[in-house]
Amino acid sequence: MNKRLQVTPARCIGCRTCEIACAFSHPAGGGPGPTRIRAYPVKPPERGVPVVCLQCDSAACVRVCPTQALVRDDRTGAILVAEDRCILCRACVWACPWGNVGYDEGRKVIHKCDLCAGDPQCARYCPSRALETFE
Amino acid sequence: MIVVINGRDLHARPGDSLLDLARRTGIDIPTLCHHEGLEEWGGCRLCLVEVGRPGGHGAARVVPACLFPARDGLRVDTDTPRIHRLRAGVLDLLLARCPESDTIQELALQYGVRRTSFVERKNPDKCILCNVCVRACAAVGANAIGTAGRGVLGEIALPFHDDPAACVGCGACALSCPTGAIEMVDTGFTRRIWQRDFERVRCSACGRPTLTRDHAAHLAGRTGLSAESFQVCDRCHREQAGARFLDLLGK
Ligand code: SF4
Ligand code: FES
Repeated sequence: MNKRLQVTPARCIGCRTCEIACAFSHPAGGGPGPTRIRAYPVKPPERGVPVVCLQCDSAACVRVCPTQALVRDDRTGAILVAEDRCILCRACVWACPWGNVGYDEGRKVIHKCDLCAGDPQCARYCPSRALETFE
Repeated sequence: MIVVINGRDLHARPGDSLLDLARRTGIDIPTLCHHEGLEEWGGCRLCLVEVGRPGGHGAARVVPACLFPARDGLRVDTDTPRIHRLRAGVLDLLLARCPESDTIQELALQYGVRRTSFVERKNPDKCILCNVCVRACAAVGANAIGTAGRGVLGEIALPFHDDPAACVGCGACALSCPTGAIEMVDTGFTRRIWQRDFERVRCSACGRPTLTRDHAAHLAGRTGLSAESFQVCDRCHREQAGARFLDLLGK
């Protein structure tokens, strides 16, 4: 199970199901965690733009991290946060030009899209195929 | 390269320390000053293990696992009565230094130390001198803090004890300290740390406080990020990305 995530913003209906799928797939402290994908709503409603990590080739977050705590998973292609290497300087949060790296102040962790270990759940629940996966 | 730890033959990779190898193969060695993302320090001595002499002659040597490189044919024991006693001794001393640290209390209890056999330090703080904060600060590139004094008087301090000029108020030291010994207080748009008040940037979109002005300037200088990168918080950043995408799409 190692799928590629494809985003087609023109199909997004702004329902934000992806955010919920993400939050429940990354639980924190016994509840849903902070979402790593955001469906930016457009007015009038029924339109949206999903914003999620692009797993950039030469990623800004990876480049600014002083402790090499952001590591590409060769299997899934996702850039993952190695929490044991992270010193919580939050440089990556500011470096990402899309705001796709977040800091969870309560739990003191950096979070970003991890492609759900190869099976992105946002795509699984997206009703309009704005988010799709391919084998 | 085969290293024998507790009687098990384990495959070591080049560059492995004994600690790396043990952790990767599920063997528990306690540590305090080790941090995966920072240079090895070797200061806490909690990771002590026994290493056999070549040919098995004479008594084993005691070495810190975090600093000791894995070598072919090495025989290592991580859990002997002698190691247990030495670690208990380290924790006994740390408990005298930091009787109020729950991290140390819990570890000490695991080694059968309920109360220190030494005299407790007067007015103790929770700093165990593991140096994680100093190394984190160096990694950030600020180099604002260092070690001062020796022995029982050792501490982590600013240059000349009171010069916070190099600090950018990023808080990485406080956030990565294993015992929570470094005080950082955020009140609205002010952050107080290392005897200094820092002003936090106001997100130009949602108005919430974000990083300190000095941290923003430091990151701009070090990473070449533009000043605009720091005007909005991470959440608003993403909103704006959505808006930008929208423009591109002409939705
Ligand atoms: S917060 Fe952690 S992952 Fe992000 S740049 Fe700093 S050390 Fe690296
Ligand atoms: S972890 Fe090895 S000396 Fe501290």
